[in-house]
This record gives sequence, structure tokens and C-alpha cells, in this order.
Amino acid sequence: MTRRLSARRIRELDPRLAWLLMMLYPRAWRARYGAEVLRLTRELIAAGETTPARAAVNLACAAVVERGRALGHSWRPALAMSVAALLALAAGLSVTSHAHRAVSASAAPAPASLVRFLCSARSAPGPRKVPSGRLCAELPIRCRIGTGHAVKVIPARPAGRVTVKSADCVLAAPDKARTSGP
Amino acid sequence: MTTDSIRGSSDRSILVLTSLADCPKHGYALIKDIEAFAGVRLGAGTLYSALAKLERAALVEPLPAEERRHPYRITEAGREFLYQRLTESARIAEVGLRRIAVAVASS
Repeated sequence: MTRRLSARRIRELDPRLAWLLMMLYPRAWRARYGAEVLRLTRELIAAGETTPARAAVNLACAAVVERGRALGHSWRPALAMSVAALLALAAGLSVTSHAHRAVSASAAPAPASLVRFLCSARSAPGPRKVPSGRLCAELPIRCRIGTGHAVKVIPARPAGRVTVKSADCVLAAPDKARTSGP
Repeated sequence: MTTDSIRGSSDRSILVLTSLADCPKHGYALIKDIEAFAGVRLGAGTLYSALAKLERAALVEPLPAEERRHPYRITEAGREFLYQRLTESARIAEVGLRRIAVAVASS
């Protein structure tokens, strides 16, 4: 089920990236066509006509064209905007691919060499007890903390999947663990 | 934005106008129709870029939304512009094809 959920997520345009892409357009254009173009993009992705990455590149390129039009014949600002747009797109795609990697990582159990214990991304690797004892979970190394990714419960605990909450991560951080001890 | 600035642009505007020549269409229908008759798949950004340009030139106009989708229709000016462009293209195509035929026959 998680795998199906992941596949569905990958077939959608990340809302943060969509917002970022719309910000690349001139304000007037965005106000007039923004909602329509995003709706159409979602329709095309849902119908399998395009991929989120391809749609994002298309929107970014169109935004550069619209910016150029809005700026008229002044090529220097247009060039600067183009560079800024491409940088923003690269940043957006990076965020999206990271999120997709994390979703994929949580969908399939990661190999033993790729897992660390809860919140070890913030501390030294190795097993760590959660002070309250409420949660002991394996976390794929690329899984982002506090984003609600599903992770496997370690064998010492009942089998099943739990969701790591940011509060649990704070609880398991080394400094908190030390302060909460005797 | 005038028809002169449309003239210098790519064929995308012509594709959109051709698609709208028979009846109004919304974005998704436009993309599917253009893909069917021209073999060109436009992205959402590209399509709306062309639509925005055509709307500024008063060659197309939006209709009231249907099921949250805005159909667009070609205007009288748009139809006239399309007719001129296609006639011009047909004349150039005719000249080119005739010259190719002459060259092939003489070789």
C-alpha cells in the first residue's frame, strides 16, 4: 500500500515546486493564467501525458519566455531573470527529487547497511534508545526527520509500521537523551 | 501586442488557432487535438504562453468556465489572420513542391 502511495505521489507535481514555478511568472500573467495552467498540468500528469519533471521544465521555460516578454527588448534584465529562473528550477528539482528519494526509501525496506536508528542522522550512527521507550524504529539513511515518513519498527518491538513524528525525533536527539536521563 | 508580433513567432500560435478554427476548446482538448493533427505535443506552459499572446493580440478570447475549465475560441480577427497565414504557407508550399518536381524530373 505504501508502495502504491509512493507511486501516486511521484505522479503528482510537488506543491512546493508548483508554487516556486508560478513565482517565476510575471505577477499579472500568474494572476490571469496561473490557476488554469496548474490545473492543466495536473490533468496532463494524472493522464500520464507527461511527467512531473518534464512539466516542471516546460513551465520554467515558459516562465522565462513570459518574463522576457514582460521586460520587452531590454535583454540584460531578461538574461538575469533567465539565470535566476534556471537556478530556482534547479533548486526546486533538487528538493523534489530528494523528497521522492525519501518516499521511495520508506516504501521499500532499506538494506541493513543503509539504515540507522531513529534520529541518527542528527547524531553519531549506532543504536540509540528512545528515552520514553515509546518508539524504536529503523530509519532509512535518506529519510527526512519530522516529515511523517513511514519506517519499520525494529525486531525488539511489535512488527508493523509507525510514523516518525518530529516530537519523537526531538526526544531521541542525543542532547535531549542525556538531559532526560538520571 | 499586434498581429505583426505574432507573425514573427513560432508555429505554435498557428497550431492553436488552427485547433480553435472549428470550435472552442479548453487546454487539455487543445493539446490532444494539436497532437492528433500536427503530431506536436505542447506542454501546459507552452500552450498557455501561446494562448496569452493570442489573447493579447485579440485573436482568441476566453469563454465562461465549464467545470472549472476555461474554453477559448477564435475571434473574427483570429480567423482572418489564420486564413492569411495558411494561404501564404500554401502558396510557398506549392512553389516549393513544384520546384522539387522539376528538379527530380530533370535529374
